[in-house]
Amino acid sequence: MTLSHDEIRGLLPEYAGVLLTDDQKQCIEAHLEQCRECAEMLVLLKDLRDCEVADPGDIFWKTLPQKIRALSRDEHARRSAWRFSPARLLPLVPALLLIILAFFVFPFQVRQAPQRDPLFRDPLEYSLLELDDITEKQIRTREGGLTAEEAALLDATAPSYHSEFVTLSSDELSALFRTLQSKDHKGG
Amino acid sequence: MDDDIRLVERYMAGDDMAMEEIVLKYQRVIYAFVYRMTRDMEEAKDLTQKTFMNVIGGIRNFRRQSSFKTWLYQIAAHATLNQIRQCRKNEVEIGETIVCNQKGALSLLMEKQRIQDVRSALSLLPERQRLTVVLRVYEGLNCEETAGVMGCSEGAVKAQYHNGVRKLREAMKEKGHDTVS
Repeated sequence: MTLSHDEIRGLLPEYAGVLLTDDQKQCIEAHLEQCRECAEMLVLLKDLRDCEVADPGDIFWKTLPQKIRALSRDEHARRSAWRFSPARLLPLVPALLLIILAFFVFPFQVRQAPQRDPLFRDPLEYSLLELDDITEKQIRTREGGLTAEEAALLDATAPSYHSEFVTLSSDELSALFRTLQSKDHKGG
Repeated sequence: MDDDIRLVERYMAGDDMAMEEIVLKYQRVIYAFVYRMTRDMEEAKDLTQKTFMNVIGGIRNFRRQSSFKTWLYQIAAHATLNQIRQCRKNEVEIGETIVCNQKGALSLLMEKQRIQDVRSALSLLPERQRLTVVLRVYEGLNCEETAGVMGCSEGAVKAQYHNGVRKLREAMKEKGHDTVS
């Protein structure tokens, strides 16, 4: 096994702490015989390891585990208390309030919104047109001389009054005639 | 499964005895580590206790990406460095008394003095260099583990370690100690 000077220098702490394999130890010992720098460093590391640690005494070693155990028991108790506490739901309260607010305020705002003319949605919706007070003469037809703009707005494919009448049977036409007569010839 | 992980899982399941076992297993190494960093017994006792208290508080954040031992050293190192930084603000240099209970032999006294000087030189290193030297030399952590504790790369650990040891050698030479025996 061969190790470079830098690799050996990096392994000296493990060597001083007897944490190496036999191969590594032999390699390092051979290197230490030749390399003064590494030998100096090893002495220093051994000096460092020889520094004593002041013993705090048996009471400390015995009481610390018990103290920490008591603290951990408190921590467990605190956690389980929190798990079943209603306070745990507190963070949900603002979210819940927002939902409630949205639920009540939003429809109210919609109700308060200005009502749009139904014709805005579908200007060609016949059922929405109030034609009760309009006489037949007032209805302008293509032949009646529409302006170019009005004519352009009309759907050329839409069925005209005439074509609707054509589809009626004679009985239906008679019934319609009677109805119009009873209503003084007013449609609607 | 790793013994430590098993203890952690037992603790998470609500077994307080597991925490006591963790403390019994690691209290001496953590105390020694903290003592070597602070050189103050009372402070080391407090910091050891604080380390385990932090373990209780933060064990749910232990992601098992590193070993439990590395994570524990990380907490101890963090607490110790914070304490050192706090102390530095109102630092009062207290000369350490050399307790010599040997039987008067001059060589033994000189040896004691030499070790005392190494400790003094260690305490004068910048905190991250000191932390690296303590973790590598005393705690026997390899470069990878030390990097895990310090939250840096292995290259940075190597650089910190070599700079630290170089400064220690220079300090020892200044004090008249020849490092080759």
